[in-house]
Amino acid sequence: MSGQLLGGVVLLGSAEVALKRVLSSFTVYDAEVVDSHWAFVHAISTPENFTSQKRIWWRYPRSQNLPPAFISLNPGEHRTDTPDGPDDVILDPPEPDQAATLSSILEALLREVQKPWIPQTDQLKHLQLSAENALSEARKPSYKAAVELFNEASQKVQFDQNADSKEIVKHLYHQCLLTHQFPICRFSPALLLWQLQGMLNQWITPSPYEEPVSYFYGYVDQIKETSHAAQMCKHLVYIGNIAYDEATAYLKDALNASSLMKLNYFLILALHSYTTATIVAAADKKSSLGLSFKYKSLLAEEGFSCTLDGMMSGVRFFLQDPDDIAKRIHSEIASGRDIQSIKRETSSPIFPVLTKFFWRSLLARAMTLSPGASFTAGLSELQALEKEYMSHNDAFDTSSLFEIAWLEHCLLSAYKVAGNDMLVKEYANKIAGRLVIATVLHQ
Amino acid sequence: MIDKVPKNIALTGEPMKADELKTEILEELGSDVYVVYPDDERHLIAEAILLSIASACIAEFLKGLVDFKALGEATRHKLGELCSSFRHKDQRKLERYQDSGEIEELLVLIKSSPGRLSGKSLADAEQNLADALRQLGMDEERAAQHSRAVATIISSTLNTEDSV
Repeated sequence: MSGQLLGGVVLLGSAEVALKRVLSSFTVYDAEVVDSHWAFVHAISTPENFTSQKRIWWRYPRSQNLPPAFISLNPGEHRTDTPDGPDDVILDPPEPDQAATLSSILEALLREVQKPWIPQTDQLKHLQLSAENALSEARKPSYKAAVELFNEASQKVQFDQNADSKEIVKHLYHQCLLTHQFPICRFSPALLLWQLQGMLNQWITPSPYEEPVSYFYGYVDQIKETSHAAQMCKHLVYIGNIAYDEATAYLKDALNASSLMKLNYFLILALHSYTTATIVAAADKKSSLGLSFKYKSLLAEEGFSCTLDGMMSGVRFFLQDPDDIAKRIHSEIASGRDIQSIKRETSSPIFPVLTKFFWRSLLARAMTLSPGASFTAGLSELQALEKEYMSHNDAFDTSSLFEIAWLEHCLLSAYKVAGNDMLVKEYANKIAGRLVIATVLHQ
Repeated sequence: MIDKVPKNIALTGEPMKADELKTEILEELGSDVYVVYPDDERHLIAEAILLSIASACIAEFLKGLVDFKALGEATRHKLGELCSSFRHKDQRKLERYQDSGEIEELLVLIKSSPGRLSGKSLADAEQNLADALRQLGMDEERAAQHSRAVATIISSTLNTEDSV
């Protein structure tokens, strides 16, 4: 990985979608947690996992109150009990590279997207502000603005008879979640707590939103002892089931999205919904409520892990030249690997890194890297993808810019390989034209 | 260089093959595939298990449409084992199972069966798969929902001429 945006390849729309992906990954947890998670993952990815005669388990420190967990990469498994098999060996992770934290990647990307040749669209400017805000919070975490919005929402529902709950929720999603002002690990329990208090009309004072997770569990525990217990249980089952259904639907929407920007949006919503389903199931366990959900907590937790992994793997995608990824796909296919297996590691509910559309384009790019029997099929696929894309998407929609630029790049390169000078010129003109328009629009 | 167009590739307008059918089914099941693990286990689900789950879904569905007796004994035995390990969440057997063409054989058989995919038999097939998913540990509503979607995926594949 070069560490540069798309490994130094300039494609229209890439700055927005890359910054959005890194920022979204960075704001899943509190900054400190994200950085240590990222550093841990990179520190343990060593070759010895696959060469050692023993099965290596890496000790993963968890929050203060919890004992460490253990992670093995070969095969992948996570345990909370200490592994004690004859072939198990427990190791502490190597010292993480502090320069390889997600906050340092976000900082570097922020500098990169401010370079003069990157068109400064309104969307990019907004994202830069959010990233600067997230990074300043990384140095001194404070979510005062988001907490205040939740306090206002609580006041409104309690004292304003005309308050529209749906509108309030929409406002909270927009102001806190989608603009990355409140990490998902805080937003989801805060919204859950707000909803439950409203449903039961039992409000906590003073504000519980500074530490929403612990307040939520405490609230459930207290209500359990009151006459509202039965009603609370009914609401919790309802919220948990809806959240799980929504999470799985969002994950599908993410894979079927027309652009990576939209995929990102749906991944955020899926992470939020899985978090909600997980917390509700955990509250049931902690307070021994004996609730019956239509999902198991394991499914919600694994759904969250897969979505998070897909989200974070996208960060690595945007730091490489996409042609290098196409080359890797090309060589894996040439060495006999099953295409569907590569697809499942790239665009599936277990690894939701890219949209299905983008995967198809990467595969077609891999097939057109050089002349050969697959070239014609790959070129036809690229042409079909372009036709399909342009007939379903607005060419001037900012969320589609990257896909269009990428398809033009793939087609230009394929025509070069085919030696079709006329079409090379046509695509070079198309790309130049779009860049000129972008430059004029954002001067 | 890729010397030939890979066998399992599906480009625009081309019919879907068994491998892709499995991928589509896994997309439908999503993270619900983790139902195959006990609550206290935390794994990255193995690719081999994923593929077996998808194969088992196809077999469970088609079991309601065609008589497995029309298949060779070895194939019948293998599919029977697969369905049984699926319903009993036998991870080891699921991980060891390797489709050596029996799923495609099944698809060919169903395509050549007259009256395939008629209303009643389709409903039976869907029910059969839903039962298997429920036995696996899925909630009734979710099992029915997945079964309906898998039925649509498989039916649309079978309705494409020359799909296998």
